[in-house]
Amino acid sequence: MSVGHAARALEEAGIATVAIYIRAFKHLAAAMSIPRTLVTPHLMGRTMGPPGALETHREVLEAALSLTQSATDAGTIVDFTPSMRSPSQNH
Amino acid sequence: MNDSHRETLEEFKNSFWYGARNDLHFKFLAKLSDEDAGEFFRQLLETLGDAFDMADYDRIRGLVWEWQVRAYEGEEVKFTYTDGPFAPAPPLTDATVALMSPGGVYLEGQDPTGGETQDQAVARIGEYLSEAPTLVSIPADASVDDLRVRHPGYDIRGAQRDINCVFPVAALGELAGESLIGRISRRHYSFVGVASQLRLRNKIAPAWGKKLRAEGVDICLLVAT
Repeated sequence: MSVGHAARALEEAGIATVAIYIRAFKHLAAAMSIPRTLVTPHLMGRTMGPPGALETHREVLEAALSLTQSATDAGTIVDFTPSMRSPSQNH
Repeated sequence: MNDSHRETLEEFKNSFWYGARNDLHFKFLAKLSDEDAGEFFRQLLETLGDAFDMADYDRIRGLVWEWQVRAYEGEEVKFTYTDGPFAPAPPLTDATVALMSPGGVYLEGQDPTGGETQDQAVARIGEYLSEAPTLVSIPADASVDDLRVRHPGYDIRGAQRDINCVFPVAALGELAGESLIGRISRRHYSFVGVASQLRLRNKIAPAWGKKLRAEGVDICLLVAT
């Protein structure tokens, strides 16, 4: 819940946010109407992916950043998949 | 527990949740019914047996993930909202991007607790839940070798092995290096998310919003743990 409260407060201050959650806590994001949420298929404590998986960490990060450009309404929740469109693919 | 007491399955499950067998990776066992816990262990042993022959550890990870989801997804949410604020983002190539982690990341030498150990933090989880969280600023150019993590609510071993699991500074550095974002904020941020949610919501987080805005952050990525 702390991420939800922080994200909502940052948005109130004019900062665009993306909350990155694991699937186990997706229901929190939905209940708290978090502005933008990316849901990853990873274990708790490894939200971005397993240790050492830099490529996966980057794919998740790119998907999160893409969400700042594509989401138009608060409460947007997207499930991460490795094939998601990303900033580097836009170039 | 005296010698004649036979541990029940419920006691066994609960012992992983801040009990005698505390394990923050498997504390979800306490949230499963006895029947589901039995089924989890049956599937786990079956998958382990297969892994011995096939060295397929992804299936073990997938099984634990599946049951972790099952354990938590039905939980009651204490704070619910029907709508929320929404700040438009600038184009990525113009944006100043910061990370914020509720995962208890801090810089060596700037420990906000003054040296609490992971075990001490776990033992103090009740106090954490009633305290206001402290925001830690981490210089964006800090070496990942100098980043530490301590948190009473999740298994930190992955983050200890590679902080990027919860605080993706390496990937963000790559994106900035390729000019896919405008710039990285001078500072990233972290706190311990196990905290008084009312104090966070009503007073602390709004102050963080003003602080980050004053420091020029346009986009903040919050990596929940």
